Amino acid sequence: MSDRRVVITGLGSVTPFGVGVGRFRDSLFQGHSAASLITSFDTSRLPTRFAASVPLDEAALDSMVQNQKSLKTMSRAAKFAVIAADEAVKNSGLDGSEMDPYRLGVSIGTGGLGFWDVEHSNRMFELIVESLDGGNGLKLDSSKVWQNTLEKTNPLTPLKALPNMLAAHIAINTNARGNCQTIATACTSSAQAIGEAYRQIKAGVADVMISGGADSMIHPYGIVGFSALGVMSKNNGEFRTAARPFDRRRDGFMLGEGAAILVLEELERCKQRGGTVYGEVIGYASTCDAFRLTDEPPEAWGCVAAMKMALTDARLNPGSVDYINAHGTGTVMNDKTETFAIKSVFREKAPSLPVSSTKSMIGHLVAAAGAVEFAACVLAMTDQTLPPTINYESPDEACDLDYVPNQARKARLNVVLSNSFGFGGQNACLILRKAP
Amino acid sequence: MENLLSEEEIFAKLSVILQEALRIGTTKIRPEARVFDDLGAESLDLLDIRFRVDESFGVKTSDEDLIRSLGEGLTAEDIQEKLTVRSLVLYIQNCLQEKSQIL
Repeated sequence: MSDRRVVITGLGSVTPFGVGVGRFRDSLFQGHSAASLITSFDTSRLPTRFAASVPLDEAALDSMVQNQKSLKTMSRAAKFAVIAADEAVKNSGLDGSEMDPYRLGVSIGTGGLGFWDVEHSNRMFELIVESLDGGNGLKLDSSKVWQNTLEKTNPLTPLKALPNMLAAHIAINTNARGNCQTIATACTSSAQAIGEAYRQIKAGVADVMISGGADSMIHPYGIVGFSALGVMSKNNGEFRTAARPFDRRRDGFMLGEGAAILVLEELERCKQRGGTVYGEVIGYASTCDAFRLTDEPPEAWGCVAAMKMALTDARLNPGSVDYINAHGTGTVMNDKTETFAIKSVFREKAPSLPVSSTKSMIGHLVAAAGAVEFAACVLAMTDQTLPPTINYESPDEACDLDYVPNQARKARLNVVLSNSFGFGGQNACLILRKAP
Repeated sequence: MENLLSEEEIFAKLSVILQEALRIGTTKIRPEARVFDDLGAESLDLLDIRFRVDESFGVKTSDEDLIRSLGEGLTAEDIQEKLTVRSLVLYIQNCLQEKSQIL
């Protein structure tokens, strides 16, 4: 068994609370909601008209990207990723010029639907209208649409759709020439990206990994797609309090967007250079339900196994865990099943184990959710404070744990666990310990 | 009329395109500047620049014609060394002349 230990030495984020870890921390512990009505496109005929958007338009975001030329190939998610990575690397004090660049890697979780942002969606709409043939009663000749698309779309636009562009931009900016990987497993993407980065450092194939995730689906196809699947809250009338995981009146998740990037580093290397340690990654596991694409299997076998295997990896008993940052989407099924799974794993400890869903505040960041929530765990650990589940009003008998309702709470935190589950039956679990 | 543009006028329009495509200041854009080594372009940027030239000048550029305009027996790799702002201006001028002959 490897004795290499993996610590977190840098943190960066772009969340619905704004750019920077400082803003994230303050709002997280004050229990703020980032919910707002969607204004970037017309949602007036859609069932969900609110989300937790990053409060910056494209021009403001663009001004924060150092390599201005790279903006041409960047989706909104890529901008989030690069801005968060900049912050994380600066925060770590890491000097890339002092290390073997082939021992520095990048591991990112993302969705890869950046192509379909608001601008491109509007452009496609215009191209279709331009392709209507007035001579034959406004009939649509689809071959003309595709010809127009080719001739009138900037040739660099398709690069925004490649999921690995986020990691590639980060690698170029940091001269990271080691393993550069992208994981696209829906809502577990970035938890797995961090978990795999941890494994690579532990296994000795890398010394430092820049890892996390970014996503942005608050665009027409994202809202239409999740609406079609019926998984988002439609409580537009109460949109400020609609994201209410584990509450009896929950009716789906609030969509969020953003990024969190962490610098993971081998402990001895960090000690030698005098880096600051925010926490230690000590356990990780991922499993697949191998059952149905979106239904939970009987007895939640996939998420139960992920938590148990991560505890085994961390060489811990369930009794050692002090807090769980739940996947806690706010759908009827997830919260009930996750509660059941936590009770299965933690048994007699479960009633006294604090479990909260930060999605109540920042929404569901999809492929970025795992990384942002793991960053929330790091902040919980450093501040010895439990982030709350806000908008919690009416208990549900199927959800009967301590969800840290509505207000942050001081706690002694030595070990925390973060759950991420995703479509396709994906499950990932990360375990963090207080800095050694 | 686009086909009556002088070399200076083409340079002025191209300069705006290069500023936008390469996110660089106007002072760097001199006729002798090499588009790759001096102005920081990469292969993808050339696609972007050509797309913007086509839109702005109403022409249809191609990689093959551009390479041919730079000299005999050159390959795509030679573009990185040979392509200057001035050679791009001359190529655009040539495209405009061909267009006016067709019309």
